[in-house]
Amino acid sequence: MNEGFPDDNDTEGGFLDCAVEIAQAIDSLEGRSEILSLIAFKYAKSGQLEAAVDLAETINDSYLRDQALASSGLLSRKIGGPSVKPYQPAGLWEEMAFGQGFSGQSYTQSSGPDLYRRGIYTVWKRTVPPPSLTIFDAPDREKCTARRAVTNTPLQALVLLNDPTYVEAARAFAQRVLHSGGRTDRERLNFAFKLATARTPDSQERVVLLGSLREFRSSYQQDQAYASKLLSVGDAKADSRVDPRELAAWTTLASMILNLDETITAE
Amino acid sequence: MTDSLTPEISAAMTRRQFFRRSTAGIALGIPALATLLATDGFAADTATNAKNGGLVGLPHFPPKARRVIFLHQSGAPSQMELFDYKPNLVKLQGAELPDSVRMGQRITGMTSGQSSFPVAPSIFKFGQYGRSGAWISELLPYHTKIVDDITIIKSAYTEAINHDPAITFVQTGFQQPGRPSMGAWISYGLGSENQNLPAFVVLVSQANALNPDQPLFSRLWGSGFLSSRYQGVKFRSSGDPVLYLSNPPGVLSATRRRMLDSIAKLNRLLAEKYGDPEIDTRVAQYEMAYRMQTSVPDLMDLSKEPESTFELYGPDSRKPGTYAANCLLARRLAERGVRFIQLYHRGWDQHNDLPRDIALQCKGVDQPSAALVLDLKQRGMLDETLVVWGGEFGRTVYCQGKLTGTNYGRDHHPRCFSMWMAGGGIQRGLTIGKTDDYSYNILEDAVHVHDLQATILHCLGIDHLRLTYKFQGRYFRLTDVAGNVVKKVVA
Repeated sequence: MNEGFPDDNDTEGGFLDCAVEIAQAIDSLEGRSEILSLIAFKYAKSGQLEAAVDLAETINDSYLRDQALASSGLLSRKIGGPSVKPYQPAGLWEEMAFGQGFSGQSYTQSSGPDLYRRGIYTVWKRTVPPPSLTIFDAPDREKCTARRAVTNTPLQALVLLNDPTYVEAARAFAQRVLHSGGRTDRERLNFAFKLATARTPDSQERVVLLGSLREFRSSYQQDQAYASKLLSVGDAKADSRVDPRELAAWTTLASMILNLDETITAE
Repeated sequence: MTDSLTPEISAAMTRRQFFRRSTAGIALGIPALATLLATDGFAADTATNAKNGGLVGLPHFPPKARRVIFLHQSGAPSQMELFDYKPNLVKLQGAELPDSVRMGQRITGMTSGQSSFPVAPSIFKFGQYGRSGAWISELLPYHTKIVDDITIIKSAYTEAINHDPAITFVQTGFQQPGRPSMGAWISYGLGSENQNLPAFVVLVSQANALNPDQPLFSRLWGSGFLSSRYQGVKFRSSGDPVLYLSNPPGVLSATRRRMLDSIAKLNRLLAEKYGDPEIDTRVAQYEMAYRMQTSVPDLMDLSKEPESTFELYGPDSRKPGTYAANCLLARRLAERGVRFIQLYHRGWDQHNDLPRDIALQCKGVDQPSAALVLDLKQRGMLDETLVVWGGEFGRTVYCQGKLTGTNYGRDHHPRCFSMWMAGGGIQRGLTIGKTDDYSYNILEDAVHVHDLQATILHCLGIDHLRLTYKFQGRYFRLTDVAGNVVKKVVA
């Protein structure tokens, strides 16, 4: 991890040991163990129990992104290494920069798997921290934070609905559901809902979800161009073997599921 | 990767399920429950006003101003070129700054190596304007039209000598980072008057001058230890005006509406099950996000402004992202009830080539700053809107670099600088403060940064001693442990 110090050369082992210590420390605090065990369970489903450990220090802000990436199958499981630069709106660093003779004045987005590393690997520029993390209450790292505030704001809704990170994750999530979730809408819905919330939807919820799916389907059936636009968000390519209209409908449903209070509230 | 879900997942008991079961049988301490259920773990002991989200009991007394527009001139404008007229310095051009004036004052690393500190008089002419006869530089011709509407403070001073700590001090009341900014404090105390826009909005514009801009930091509009809901929201001139505002490509607004309706339905089903009020808040916030998708473009759309508006603010006001366009946006934000509107205009750090650069800066800033005051006045809004103009410190009378008859530079100077205030709660047509012949030390009516902050809060009906927040075992204020309302400037 690059913490902004010139001689920063953290090794895999060192980082992991540190993460284990932090996890153990937090685990001993009342109330945290539940969140941790939830993370552990969410990772257990993909056989990556150890990955839960290094999430311990970034529970609030980057957890949502990690969860969306994990549910979608996009998440890179790599541990350690230099920080990465995931999607960020253009110009954020530049409009506050000094511009001459200093490093880190412009933001060059990462590519490939580095776009999908866990949130703890996201580069942290202290004068312009990543907005999708600060909007989710990431502390500014200017002082000791014993307990993080947890807010519930409209800007958070905008991130989860519109940030390319989450739009792309919804599409990958939908692809996963179409591939592995069974054959009927109902089977696929159960699979998707369980991936996000760890339970199957009840009958009332199912009515709402399947009703929405039917509407999304009919609207994307009418206009394939819109479907293609939605599927083009993000660097990962959409699976061309899937009918784009069907994939767009499921992508929209997946985005809905990723925005449910139950999905985004870890407690 | 395997896609079989393990049965253990469903064994995880959530907090909500715990409470559900608890309330059915297990006895649970009520105070503990209340603390755990509070939205902000920290703010559990403070009651909020349901109408606007501010604190109960605020304002402390009837306010004169309902909102603030803070026009921060980042980099620190030179007081001697703009408001603090020092005609006697012409005779002293090139003379050494006397030790009796400097009195051992620390200076920055940028000039501490100079063997000489020659006096550099301003090359710009001054005149007296308005009923008050205030001295105004020829660099600010449009300001001559507002002198009777504003109060000029020639005796502001600060403790910091470099940009980062000095701006942080002006914005947060403390030189070190980590405290809430003024806009965050005021949003926390007074809440919002508009349910479709944030209470604290930030607009940044780039230099007109040729020297590089001083950097800015997003923590300047951060909420520090206050809940992050009070952090300033930067509106941008390129891309989405508010980050992530637009629907993704291929998502029509009808589709988005349907998504939000279904999300709300599903969240309400959950709320019925668990009775967690945070879920209702979530539903409401998703609706506000949707309304912002309309209210923000409507705010930014200047196409319905009449020609006279652009004439008033100047031709730059048609160019998004300029200081002029931001001043116009500030008026539109004020019309919509936004509580704290913070502008930052970069480019005032004139260590060299000051005459060239300050003239360029003034060309960008003079007309729109004055236009904002005139515009608020003609709309009847100046009475309830407090406008503040100024930088983070002043500049030195002595020259940085080579002094010639036409060119010079000035270093940072914390001991005096000029600002102006106008509108709700502030005297009109007044100049206060007096500096010595060198514009180095203050002789009369010194206004410390904390005094300025206390005065701003006073105009809003807030007693700066009583807007506090407990963090790390002590109560914090915007004015730290100091600050006095400047009685002379309040109306």
